Amino acid sequence: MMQRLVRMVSGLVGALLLVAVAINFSNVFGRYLLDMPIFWAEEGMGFIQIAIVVIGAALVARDNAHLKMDAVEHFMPAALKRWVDVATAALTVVVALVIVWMASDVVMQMVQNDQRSMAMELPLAIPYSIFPLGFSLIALFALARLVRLLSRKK
Amino acid sequence: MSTLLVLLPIAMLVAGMPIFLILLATALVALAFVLHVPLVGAPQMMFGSIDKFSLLAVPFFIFAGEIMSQGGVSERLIRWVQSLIGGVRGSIALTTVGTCEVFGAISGSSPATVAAIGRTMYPALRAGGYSDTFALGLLTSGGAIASIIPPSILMILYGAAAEQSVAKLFIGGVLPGILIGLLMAAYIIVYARSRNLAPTERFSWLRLAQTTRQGIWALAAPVIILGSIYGGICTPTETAGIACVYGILVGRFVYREITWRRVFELAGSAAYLTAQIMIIVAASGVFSWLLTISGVPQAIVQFIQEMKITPVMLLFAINVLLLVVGCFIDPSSAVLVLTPLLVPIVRLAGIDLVHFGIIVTVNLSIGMFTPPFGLNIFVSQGLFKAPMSTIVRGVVPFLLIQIAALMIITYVPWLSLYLGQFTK
Repeated sequence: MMQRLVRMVSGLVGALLLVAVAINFSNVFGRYLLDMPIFWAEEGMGFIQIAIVVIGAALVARDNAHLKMDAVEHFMPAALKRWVDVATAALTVVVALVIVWMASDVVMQMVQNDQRSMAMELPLAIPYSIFPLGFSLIALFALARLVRLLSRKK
Repeated sequence: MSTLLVLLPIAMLVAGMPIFLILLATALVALAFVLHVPLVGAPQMMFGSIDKFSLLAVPFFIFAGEIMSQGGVSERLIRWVQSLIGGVRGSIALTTVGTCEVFGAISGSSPATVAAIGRTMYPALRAGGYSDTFALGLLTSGGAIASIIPPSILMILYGAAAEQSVAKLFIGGVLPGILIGLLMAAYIIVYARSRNLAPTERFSWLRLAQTTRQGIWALAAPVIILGSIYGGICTPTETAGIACVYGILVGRFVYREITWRRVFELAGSAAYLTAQIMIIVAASGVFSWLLTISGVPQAIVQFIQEMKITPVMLLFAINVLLLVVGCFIDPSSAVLVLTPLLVPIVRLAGIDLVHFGIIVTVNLSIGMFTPPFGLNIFVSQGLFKAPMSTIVRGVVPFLLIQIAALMIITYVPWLSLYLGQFTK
């Protein structure tokens, strides 16, 4: 189940990047050769970039591969290292859930006020929903890691 | 509470917790419990930090670099530079530096360049009589040139954090990148003469014509990238996207070295690398908000003003700080965390922010191969199955050369600013 979700998310971020490349190319091509630029290109690619970053960050959290200073980590006793891993996973769950909570509030406000983007006039609640979605995934993957770490024998 | 908010993040950093998590956790706690600011602004700050068109150049250039190194472009560039440099002692090592310069004009990533160039040049260097230590040191440090020669991921991140033109930063990196290459080349020539290494076959126009014909599509890549930015045709972000399409077309249909499946896999891996870097951009947006509200940059500026430090001393102190930071923290995180703190100080001292961006980039690219934790060292270790001690011994002379170059770049602003005068 979790493996399928990971494969799906992984395929999704790769496909989103290819879509952004295609929009960019069509925009430049349209501007110079057809005199018809895509007026929503920059805005659309910006939203795609947000999705790549926030949803992709969940994959990185799953692999425990977020950028960090690992200079001291190499010299840590195994027991201490394990507790740091547990604390990292637990803190990730807490922080991600706070962001989910706050971002959901923002999305609700945007729905109520019917706020829309400048170029596409897309309801802003849609791109902003990426935050609750992506950070829910980050919390889910970090929780799975926490459970794995705690159930592993010392 | 305030002391705890300084000490706890440092402890978390030392313990090896993710940088985006430290920035977010610290900012959220300080905003909620010290400054009593509603946290609902945090997701908006994160959204605003990554919703910048200039930053879209990061995934595009990462993807373009991956496509070109796997699609046969790097191999052809090496053969072309090899045919250009013939008949001199040290030509294989000089080819390595030359290819790093040319490949740097396609790729903005230092470890990717080490991998792309190293796969071919390491066996060639060993076969040419270079010691293992020298070959490993050269390849591990040579990749740093790619971060300085445009395009550069570090410059895009600095440009977004310091609100500076990416195009001006890119052009500002050209002369410093060439200077580093020339200093490395001078050392290589001295090394090759002292070891009496045999020169490779003499330069021939026929061979150059052959490799140019074979590599014309690869050689066109840097011309398209730099030409479209400075010809005023496209923005750096648009150019990065065009480079991806060009890389796919050349790798798939001209050289036929990549499949559609591989293109899709490389897009996934570029998106993954993007998320690793850009989630820190998002978190640093919340952290910068905290800094602005709490008045930390202003306090630092006032402190520096009271110290009456001259610009020369200030740049020296910042260089030392960045060299130390670069040994421990990856360059992308360092740029994003330190730029909002350093820019107000540097601006006050009257230092040009484009020049400062080049200093930061050169400095942190040195950090990429500084022992014991530079990322390029681990790339080399994995790629060439070499012991860490040999790599570390090998990079020392190149480290000294690049620090000397850094000092020249720091105190001769002309190198970073001259070409910028000719851009719009």
